Amino acid sequence: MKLTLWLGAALLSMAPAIALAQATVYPLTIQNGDNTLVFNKAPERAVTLNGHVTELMLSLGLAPKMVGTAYLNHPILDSLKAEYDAIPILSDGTGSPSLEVVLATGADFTFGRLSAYRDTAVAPVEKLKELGINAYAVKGTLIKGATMDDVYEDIANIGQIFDIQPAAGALIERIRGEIGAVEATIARAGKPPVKVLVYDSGEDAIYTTGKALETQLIALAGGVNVFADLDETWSNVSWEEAVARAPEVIVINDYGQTSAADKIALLKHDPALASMPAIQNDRFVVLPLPSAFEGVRNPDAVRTLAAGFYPELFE
Amino acid sequence: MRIPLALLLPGLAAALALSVTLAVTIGPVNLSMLTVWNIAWAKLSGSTGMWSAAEENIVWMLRLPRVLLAALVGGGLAVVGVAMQAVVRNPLADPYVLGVSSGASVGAVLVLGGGWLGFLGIYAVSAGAFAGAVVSFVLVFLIAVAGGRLWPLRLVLAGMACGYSLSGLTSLIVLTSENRELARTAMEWMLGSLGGTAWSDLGLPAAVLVMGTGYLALSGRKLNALLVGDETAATLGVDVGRLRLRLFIVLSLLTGVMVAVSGAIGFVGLVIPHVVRMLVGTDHRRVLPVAALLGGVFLIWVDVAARMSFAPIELPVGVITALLGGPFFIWMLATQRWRSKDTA
Repeated sequence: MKLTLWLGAALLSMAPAIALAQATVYPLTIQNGDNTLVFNKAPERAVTLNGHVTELMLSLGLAPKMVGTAYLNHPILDSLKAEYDAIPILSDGTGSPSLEVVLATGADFTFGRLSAYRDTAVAPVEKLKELGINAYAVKGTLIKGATMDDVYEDIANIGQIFDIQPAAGALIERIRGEIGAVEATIARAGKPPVKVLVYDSGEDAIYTTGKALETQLIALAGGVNVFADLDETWSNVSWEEAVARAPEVIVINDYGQTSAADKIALLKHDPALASMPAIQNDRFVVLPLPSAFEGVRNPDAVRTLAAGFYPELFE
Repeated sequence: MRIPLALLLPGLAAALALSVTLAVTIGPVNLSMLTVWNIAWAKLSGSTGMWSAAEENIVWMLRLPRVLLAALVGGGLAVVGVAMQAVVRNPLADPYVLGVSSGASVGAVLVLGGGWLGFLGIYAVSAGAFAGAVVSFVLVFLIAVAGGRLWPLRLVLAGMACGYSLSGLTSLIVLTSENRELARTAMEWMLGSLGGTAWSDLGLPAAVLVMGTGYLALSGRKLNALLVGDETAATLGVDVGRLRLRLFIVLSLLTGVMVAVSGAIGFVGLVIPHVVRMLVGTDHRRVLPVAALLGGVFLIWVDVAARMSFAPIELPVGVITALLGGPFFIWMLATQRWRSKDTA
């Protein structure tokens, strides 16, 4: 008895290492933040609750297992459009569907950002568990200082949960490879990192990012976020602090109602910012926000950022 | 437009029962009335039938507890509103006039944003809100009490002062939080929502609300005396000091429980009492039971609107109460002759 327990524990501790190599043995236990998920078999009726998560699942070839998608607040990637259109859309780009709409699909698995698991969005993960739904949250939304490794962990976990490790392994390698190619180009040039300010939104203060995935995407593209030392994932910082940190490039997060051009115009016409090197040299990079969310678009983000930081290297 | 109570009460009770029965058949997922009632009947009588587990969950686990909570909270808010207007002798009072919702908001955002009380799981927000409510009404009590008595004006002023300070604290927590979503989450919570109600959320609030409402309904004669004035009440043999203290505790507790389970749903507790007085006059022995029933019916239908108007996305129910409450109140004012002596 003791030996079996010990063996079980040993096997469990090896699980991440062998995850990509072997077929899944059910019941499978997956730790997702504080939430422990137990799968007795691969889910057959999955619902995705955010756009970037939908794209991730479709990229893994899981369309046949998906019975609903929700809250896609940007156009779907062209390459995934045909599969996306064949799956019922539970809510449009303005919000999360209500719990009964998710239940009506007969879902046994949901995948979304932490914000989808609020009482006022779909429902907390505990509640979904009571209703027989295993609810997985994007790891980058559960922690501070998310990196690409957390994205790879999500993909590997989905691979295990659906017993599609080869597809998951291939997707991780593809993303890793595309980002690696950009990194290699920058490394060869041997230039010092560019100082970057992220402007998400805000007029009285700048809404910017600190310990979130975007900061690492900037680092992978050869930049350094001047507010990387913030304790928070996202926060308001003062204009004078931004000026004091003398960013060389400003990254504009492009989404929603205010166009990137309007945001750039706002920054350029503020006399208080005139001394900022990025403003003086007119150096802005427009980053479509969906590519900064955990998923298959992250290499696009790294390429867009790198091309903006080092235009001479990425003609 | 006085309607005899003997007609109005049974009529409203029937309307409440009918509202519950109809409201469970309405939702973003299209289920036939027959299926819904079959499921509910089967669950109540312990039989089974031909429907999917998803349909059963939608009706039994989601819709029915939610509709019942709407009835309870709607009735509770209306009754507390009536009594609060008498206790502080102010027609503009509502259940939150003593700052309870601001205190609850502080507790809720500490849980939502700061992860406080995380060990309580899905009950953490309710527990935080209730703790915040208790803190605020203890504060209000300590400020308002003078010479061992609570005075109406001091109560309102203490409630306002605490309310402003605690709202400031809530804003501070929200604006300095690292959580990108907190502002939205906090706003939705503060507006009040009945989403995510489970059967297990119903027991305690139901017991507290039924007992509290019952107590208030039996205090109708004393509330009448309070509304006239402390001196008159005293000559009628009412111990005003003790009564106001006891009512303060009951009202705070009731409001705290309601805010904990559903957030600070506005306007019901302000508007329904006035509507009821327009219908049946100012005698609390008539106003309280009518307000309990009408408040329940009102909130059930407002919650249906919250679920359906932007389906499949839900709105916090407080948005609709505010949107409907204001114009409805104005319409009542315009069509009824406003008898100022009745409501002063």
